Amino acid sequence: MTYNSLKKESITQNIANRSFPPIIAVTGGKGGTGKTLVATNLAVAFTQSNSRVLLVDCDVENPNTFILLGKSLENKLVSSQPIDIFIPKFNKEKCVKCGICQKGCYRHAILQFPEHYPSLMEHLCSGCQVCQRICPHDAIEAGARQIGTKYFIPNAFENLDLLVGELTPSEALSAFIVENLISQATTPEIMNQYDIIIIDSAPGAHCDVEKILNASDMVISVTEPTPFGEHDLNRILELLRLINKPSYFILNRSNLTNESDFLTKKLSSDITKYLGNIEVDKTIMEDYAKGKPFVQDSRTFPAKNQFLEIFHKIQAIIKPIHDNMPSNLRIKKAD
Amino acid sequence: MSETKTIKIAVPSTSDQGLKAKATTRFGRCPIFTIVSLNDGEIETVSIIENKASQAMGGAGPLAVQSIANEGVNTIIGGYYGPNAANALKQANIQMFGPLKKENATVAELIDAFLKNELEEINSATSPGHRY
Repeated sequence: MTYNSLKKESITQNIANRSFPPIIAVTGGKGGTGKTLVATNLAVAFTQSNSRVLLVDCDVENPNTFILLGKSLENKLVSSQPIDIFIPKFNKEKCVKCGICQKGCYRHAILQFPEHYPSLMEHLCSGCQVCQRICPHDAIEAGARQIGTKYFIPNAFENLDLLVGELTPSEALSAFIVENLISQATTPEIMNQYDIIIIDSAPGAHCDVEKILNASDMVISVTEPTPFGEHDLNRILELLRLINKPSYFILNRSNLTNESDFLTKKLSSDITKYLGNIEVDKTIMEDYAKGKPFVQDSRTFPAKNQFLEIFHKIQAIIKPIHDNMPSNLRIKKAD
Repeated sequence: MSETKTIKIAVPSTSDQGLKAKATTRFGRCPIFTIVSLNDGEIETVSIIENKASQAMGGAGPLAVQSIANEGVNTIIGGYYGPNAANALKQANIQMFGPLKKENATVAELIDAFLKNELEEINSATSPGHRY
């Protein structure tokens, strides 16, 4: 199967399976390659071309998008909501101490000693609800344990809303937070408010990242011309092959080494295509340190032009998805 | 020991040779528990159970506690107990006793030291534990 037919198929599948708008995932494998920089500037660039954008920060262990946009989570306009997992609550009026929940718990989080009611080791519980389903006496009720928080920042920028997930430090179930964010972002009520959804992913090629890639129409990997960048991007590409999703890549800090041209050729394949490069640039770093998107910088500098070139390519790639959007779902542009 | 109630002791062990088996300080993932019942300071019965938790992916401590509690054990003589294990042992009202400061001790030697009141009672976790 050729790249183009693959791409067309994956887009058509998504069109068939859910409503709009297009979802772009920004990932890359290695940490510190500029994923969040690209995601935030891409989001702002789309708002400048009059699109309503939802940016979802799924780097739940270290969410940074709001910092790069110069925002705080403490603001009174920010709404926050706990993210809880299920834990069993044992109803002592119904429980007959049969021990079935204890035997069924694969995490061994439930204890039930002879003559005692069952008890829970909260930190071992993964929230799978098996205990509740197998209890023959309907004695297990749903309790909750908070493992993270999500924040909604409306109008982080003009036409840009931000949804941020944060895992409570020491908690293990980051994928649960990612799942929660994605399912919120893909509800029809939310989707109908935006022209485009951009998801910023964590580094790595683990299940958090896989969930994001699975949910997206277009995957953009950001990497750098170093052996680390190459190695870690290859792990993302392996993941993309597994889920059969073609992608694009950006070489950030392209003039950091002399390997850029060589790497561009080496990495391009049926699963990923080269989108463009961004050079090391002092202006970007200044803006970055101030929490200001560099696409909004009124100065002209090579890296900004390179980024805008990439942006226009991305616009062209997602255009077919927009064109296929049922007209009743299309966003009416603000006057 | 002056108590009249039956003391049922579990000793984490490396083999199934009963009183001759070597004891281990690992609790949750020891392969065998040797279970010794004492009546009035005398050994009444000796049995063994395999520790299913030794191969568990996670939660080995609580699972091991569950299986010895099901056997009616009320005392454990091991070495080190992780936080989950210690928590579960307390909930099960199983008294914890500390290691015999002798390498390669056998179950019999531990029971002997216990009867002579030479072992220290432990009230909280003595090892940092392994999450997941």
